[in-house]
Amino acid sequence: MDVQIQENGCALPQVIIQCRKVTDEILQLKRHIERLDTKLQAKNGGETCFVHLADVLYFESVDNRTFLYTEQAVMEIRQRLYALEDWLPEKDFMRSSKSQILNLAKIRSLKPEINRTILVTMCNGERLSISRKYVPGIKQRLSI
Amino acid sequence: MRKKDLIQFFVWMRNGTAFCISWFLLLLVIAHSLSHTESISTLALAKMMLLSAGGVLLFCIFFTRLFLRRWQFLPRLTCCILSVGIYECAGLYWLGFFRGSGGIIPWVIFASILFLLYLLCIGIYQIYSRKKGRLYTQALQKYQQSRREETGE
Repeated sequence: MDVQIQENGCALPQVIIQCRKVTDEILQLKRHIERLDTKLQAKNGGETCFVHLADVLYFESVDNRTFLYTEQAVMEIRQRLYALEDWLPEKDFMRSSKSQILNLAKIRSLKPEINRTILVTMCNGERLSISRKYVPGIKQRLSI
Repeated sequence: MRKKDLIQFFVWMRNGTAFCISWFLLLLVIAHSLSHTESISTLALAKMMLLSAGGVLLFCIFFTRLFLRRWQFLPRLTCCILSVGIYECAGLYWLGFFRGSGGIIPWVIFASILFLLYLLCIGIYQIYSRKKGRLYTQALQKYQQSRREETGE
């Protein structure tokens, strides 16, 4: 495998894999590269750390500040919720209310409520709610 | 006040009133037949219609989203049962079915019927809610599985 780096002043780094034929190995390489770009810089107390998207339960915006919640901690991030919504993989993260984005992989169960919201139980037992405005989106995603 | 909620309120009022009036009319006819009364007075019919409409109004206030948008099922049901119970009581006095203060036993029976109805509604709602929740969770798990397969995790 020949690995090269070309500096051409483009805003975002771009990775192009050139190959004769797309094999499983090539697809695995592609997935591995994609996963490298899935970490977020966050502040935990005074410390800065990187959090893998797969560890995030949900994002929440409170008082113009954005926080991410994992099973162990709550950390502040500098991105705003609307910017996160554009950046996050849409198949794994969904807006559940005006101030929350949920990680679909971390949801344990769903329960529709009589007021047409959906009660969400996360894998750590925490309960959140999908508001009425965003219920059609989740139903479409899950093909309900 | 949203247009959709207003329309739903009036549709439910119409449907509920039609259902109640039909049902109470049938009961009146049966009751009068059994008591060998040949005619039903227009006053009795009018009272019955008003009683039905009032009960349906209370039901629609508590179970549509026009007035109470964020209430959960249980508070809605509790307030509805209490208010309908009081309203029906007053209505039945007005219609002449109840007279005087009555004995303790009829009141206990009346309260028990309301309480049983309350428990029945809760039971039905729990069953429905759990079933729907299971369907939603199954769909979610299927989605999570397909995502795991796609990403090769």
